[in-house]
Amino acid sequence: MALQDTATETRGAAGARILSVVAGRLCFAAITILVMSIVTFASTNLPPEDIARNALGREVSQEQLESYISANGLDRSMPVRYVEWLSALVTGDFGVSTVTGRNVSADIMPKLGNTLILALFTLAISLPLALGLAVYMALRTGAWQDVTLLMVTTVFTAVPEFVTGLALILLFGVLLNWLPIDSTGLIFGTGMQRVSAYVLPIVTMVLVTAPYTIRIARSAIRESLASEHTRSAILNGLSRRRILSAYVVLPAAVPIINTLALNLVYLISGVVVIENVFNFPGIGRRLVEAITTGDTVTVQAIAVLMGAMFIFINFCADLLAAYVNPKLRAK
Amino acid sequence: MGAWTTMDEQRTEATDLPNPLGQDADALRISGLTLAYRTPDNRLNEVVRGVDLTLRRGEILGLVGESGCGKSTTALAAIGFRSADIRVLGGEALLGADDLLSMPREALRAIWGKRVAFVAQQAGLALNASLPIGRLLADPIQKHLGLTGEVLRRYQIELLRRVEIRDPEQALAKFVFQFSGGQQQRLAIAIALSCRPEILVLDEPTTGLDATTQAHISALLVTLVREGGVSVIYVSHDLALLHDIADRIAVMYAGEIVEIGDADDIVTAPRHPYTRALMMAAPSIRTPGMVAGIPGRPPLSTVRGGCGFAPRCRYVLDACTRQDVALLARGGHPVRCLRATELPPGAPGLAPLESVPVGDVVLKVSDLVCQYSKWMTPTVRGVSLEVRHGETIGIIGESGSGKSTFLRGIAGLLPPTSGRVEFRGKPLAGSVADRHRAERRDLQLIFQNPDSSLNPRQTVGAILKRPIRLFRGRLDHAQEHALLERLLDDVQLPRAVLHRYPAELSGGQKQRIAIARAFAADPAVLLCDEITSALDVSVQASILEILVRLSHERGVATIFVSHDLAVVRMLAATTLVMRNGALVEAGPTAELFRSPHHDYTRTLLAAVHDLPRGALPQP
Repeated sequence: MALQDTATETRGAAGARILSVVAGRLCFAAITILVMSIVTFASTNLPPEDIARNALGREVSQEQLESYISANGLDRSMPVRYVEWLSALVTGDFGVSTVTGRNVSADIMPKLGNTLILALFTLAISLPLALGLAVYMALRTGAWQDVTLLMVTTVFTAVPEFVTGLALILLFGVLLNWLPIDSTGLIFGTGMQRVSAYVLPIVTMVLVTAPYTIRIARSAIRESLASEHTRSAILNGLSRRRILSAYVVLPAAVPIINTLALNLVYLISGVVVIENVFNFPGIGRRLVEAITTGDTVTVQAIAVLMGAMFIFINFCADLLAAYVNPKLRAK
Repeated sequence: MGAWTTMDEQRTEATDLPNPLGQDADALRISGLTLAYRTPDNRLNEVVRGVDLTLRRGEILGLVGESGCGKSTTALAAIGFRSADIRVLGGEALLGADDLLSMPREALRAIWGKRVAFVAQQAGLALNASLPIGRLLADPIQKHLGLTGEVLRRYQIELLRRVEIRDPEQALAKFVFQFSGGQQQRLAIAIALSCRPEILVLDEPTTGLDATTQAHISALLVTLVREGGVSVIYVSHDLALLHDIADRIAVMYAGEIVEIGDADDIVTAPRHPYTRALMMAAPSIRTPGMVAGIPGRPPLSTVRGGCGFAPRCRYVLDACTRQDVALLARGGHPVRCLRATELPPGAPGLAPLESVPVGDVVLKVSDLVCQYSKWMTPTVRGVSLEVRHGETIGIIGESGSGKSTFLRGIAGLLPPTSGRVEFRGKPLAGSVADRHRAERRDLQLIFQNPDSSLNPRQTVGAILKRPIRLFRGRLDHAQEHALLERLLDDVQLPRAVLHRYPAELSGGQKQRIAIARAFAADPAVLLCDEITSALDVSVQASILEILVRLSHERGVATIFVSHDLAVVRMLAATTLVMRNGALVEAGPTAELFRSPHHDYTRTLLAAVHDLPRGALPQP
């Protein structure tokens, strides 16, 4: 009885400690997002006249510009406008685009959804693929399978994402005619058309992100395979499956998770290029559009969203790394 | 059947078969074990040849030799394990009727952990840091004994209790890095013994731990294996330790057994020059004397067509290099030496220590207090000492006693919180950064691990030139080169190493470079921090020889910190004992070791393994 009490007690104390660590990290993430929003706002903050001109067009009188400026409060100081913008932002109100005249939230949220689906499927495919291949290669270090796969990953790491995307369009869209050559089916199509619109962008993203993860994971697992703790596990007579999962892959997980986080961050920015290649109605393509049309409000909104996603991903990766590596947890 | 089976000549042939009636007298029978290392360019390099070893039931068999002589490879291969780059060229290892060498991996999984267990040198590396101790223990127990739930938990707690882990319930939820080095090794032992194995292979299980921890752990091991009737192969480079705990000892050199017999026989009547050389390299407390290094290094592979030890042997004859030498009884326990019967009888002795003329006080340290942080209790709490020209002072104590921190405080690497360091009557600034160049030259520090104290990206030449240019004033190219060559001669290294990088050198060679670097500054005081603790006995002996000769020649005052009491007994005229940052006892070494006043000093002394010594060998 006394035994169980102490056990629960320690578990409770450990739980409280973990909670406080998580809370600390979360605070840190919030502060980072705040700083990032200031930088975003300040750097995209055009002179009031330019904003007004973007909204009203070139052929306007000075009076029209001035009345627009005072009507929209653009004559107030930047900190004041920042606070106003931020307080609207936290309620989910990104404002109204001066270019399209549409509500920015309504404009970008569905596109953000599309992009998140793209990123999630990419992750769900490339993580198990990378881990599986890495273990396969590490177990056959130096054999022809390992060497061939290494060469393939090198090629895919070296080729830029738009080349990979175009090559896939050429192969599956044009030559084989199996899949649509762009993702406009997401907007106009229904059912299977919508599903098939995702396939090529996802395949491209997997081909672009997985190879690097494979290479990092392979070397981490190789090191773990050759380690003394793996030898001890073998000499304890444990099963091959148990050794691989708990004694080889688990201790190698931290570098793999960190690479994965880097990859995810890359996914968010790389998505800009890939979405443009496939005409994919996602947040990355919308960002490019907004920049070319001088749509400051939309650019700010997307920039803050992307930044927040970067920070959130790193936060999750830190937590996950701490979860699989007790040494990090102790710190 | 080859020449190597000769050690079994006295045994009856019936031992080749498992005994059909009752229990086998032998736990493991290894015969003709021959292994090769596959080099990266796919050549085979024979590293173990024709090893015959019979592990008797319930005995502790010691396997001794320098690093690189094949003892760990042999012990692991004997239980069927080899790394991917090792090939079996021949032989068998019989556990009952099963040959572990030819058994497939899947079949071995049922034997490893269950009938045969292994404990590695560094538990910190050998235990998976991603799983809690409870899980590490449960894995083999669930697999081999099938215990689960509350029964498993009670069994685990009992195991941890047996290896004397405090708070076993809590320990189950902790991770390996939350324990001290000694505790980690206890945990590793608990895991190894968890499924009550018949055979235990120990690979230097206490090397790297400090002397008292070593003594506790080896005592615990002996108790546990004797109680459980476990048969043990104990791999160690420490002949004195094996003499105290093993029943029999096999001495290995160049991948072959060169001598095997009862532990007492091996040590009181060593019959192979290599065994004698190992004994002469080991410093002693009971019969202190000057150690002798073994010149050269062990070969990287087995040697054919001659005795492998011949190039380093002081008794070598022409005949030794012309033919393979068989392991034969030659009127005593089996030995692989043509001149076994001609060697002087009994254990070799150590040369007497020379007394050194001592001059004026060079360095005076008073009431030094050192702490790493304002909020922590001081690591060194008011320690004083005086060292004279030509004198060596030893500081002993367990790890954590503050002895290394004390040195760092004197050197100014950790500026002391209070206290004084005076050099030839003049006070030195607390921080090394505030000391003049000449003052920095006068105090040189040598660290334990040359891997971290030598810049891996500089050649040995560049490493040695730096103190020369800093401290020796302007020298022209020829003078500088002459000085470099003299420094290398002093530490007995060939001149070719000037262009080498530290990674290309052995551990002993690197430590010699570190010593040469200290002497390059022409110091008045040498501060040595466990400088031989990471080295083999034979390498340690050569380093000690060099250090003694150089400090005598130069009249350097030395403060030598070590947890190895025998080394301090040999080097130091005066010894300080430290514990928890404070001085426990100090006095002339001979007296202090003969009749210690403090209980702590007695505990330290009791932990030392010592070899019996005989007369000096004839030259």
